[in-house]
Amino acid sequence: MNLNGTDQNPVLRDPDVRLMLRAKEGDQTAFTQLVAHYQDRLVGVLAHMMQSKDAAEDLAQEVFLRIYRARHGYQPTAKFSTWLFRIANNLANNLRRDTGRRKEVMLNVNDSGPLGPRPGERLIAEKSGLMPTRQYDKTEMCSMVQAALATLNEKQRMAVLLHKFEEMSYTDIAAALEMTPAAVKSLLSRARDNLREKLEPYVRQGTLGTVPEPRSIDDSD
Amino acid sequence: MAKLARLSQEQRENLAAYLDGELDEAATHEIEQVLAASEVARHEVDMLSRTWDMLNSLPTHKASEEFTQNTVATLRAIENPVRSAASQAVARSTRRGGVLALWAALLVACGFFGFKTTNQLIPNDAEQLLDDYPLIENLDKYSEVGSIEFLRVLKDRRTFAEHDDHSSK
Repeated sequence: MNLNGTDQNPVLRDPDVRLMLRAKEGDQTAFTQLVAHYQDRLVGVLAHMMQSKDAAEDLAQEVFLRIYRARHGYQPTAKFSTWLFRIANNLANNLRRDTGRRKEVMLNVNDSGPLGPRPGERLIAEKSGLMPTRQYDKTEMCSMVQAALATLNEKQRMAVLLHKFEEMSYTDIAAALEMTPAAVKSLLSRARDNLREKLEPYVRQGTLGTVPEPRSIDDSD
Repeated sequence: MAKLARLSQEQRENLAAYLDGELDEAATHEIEQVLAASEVARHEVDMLSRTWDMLNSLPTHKASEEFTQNTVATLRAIENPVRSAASQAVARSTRRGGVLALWAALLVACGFFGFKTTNQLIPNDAEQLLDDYPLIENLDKYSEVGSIEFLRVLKDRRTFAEHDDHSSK
């Protein structure tokens, strides 16, 4: 395959696609580079999905194994990251189906270990009863946001994580989640509404000072 | 009243897409007009934006330091058994062939040993006759001689020595 034929196939401009094509030709180093490049991004997203870093690492490894096994039949039809997260999403869905029920275990915010079983909804309800003017510290804020994120359904959560942390466009998210861009627009809108519903009380209680890099919105009118 | 009018579902979706920078130029212009006219829309965008920014407080999880190494090692472990399967099959066939050859050699050796053993232990009449054939052939002559002592005396006296020399020549 002509790796320089980017005019014919714009996807080939993606350096990771080119690495994958090298891996397809048997270049182990290229595949190792891909693993090194995506490991943190994949584990980061999956840790929020699985609510356990260990489970996220296991799943991330399985994603790379699937990609490696499929390398001989690889066709560059989309960005590599889109393909990778589509596989990750499918595997996460399969795992959830196999597990049967979602484990409501929160991540420890300071390290990789699970914090222990703390149902997200209950945590939010408990925190909502706190003093109205109280400023939350970073750890509490993190727990509240994690709990709010945990209340989203799997598809909404994946879309939020891909959009927020992977900065993927609606089109790329649609490709990764095997949906239409219009459906992603609705999905993300509902996800944002749900997050707003859970987190707005804390915004109203004056917690915004603890939020890193707040987006400024001109609401002076 | 328009300032406080509730937003439609489509407008709400467009507000989120507006914040994500996913609207085209016409839709962006349209939503900006809605924002300019509606206090509800402005509040909505504000809250959506602020709660979205709260996601920044989520922890960043990184893969363990050995992740790449472990993953690549796992890939090799998966790859190698596929390659060694063929050599293992050859080794298995060779081992099986060797065992069969050993059994065949053992069987032949047992057969040979059995044959020799039975051949020596069980008396064979025909073989006895073959052994005694020179005696049987000359039995008449030996009967005429009568005594072995007489033959020894004749030999010692060399009575037929000349005849023996001629016959030896």
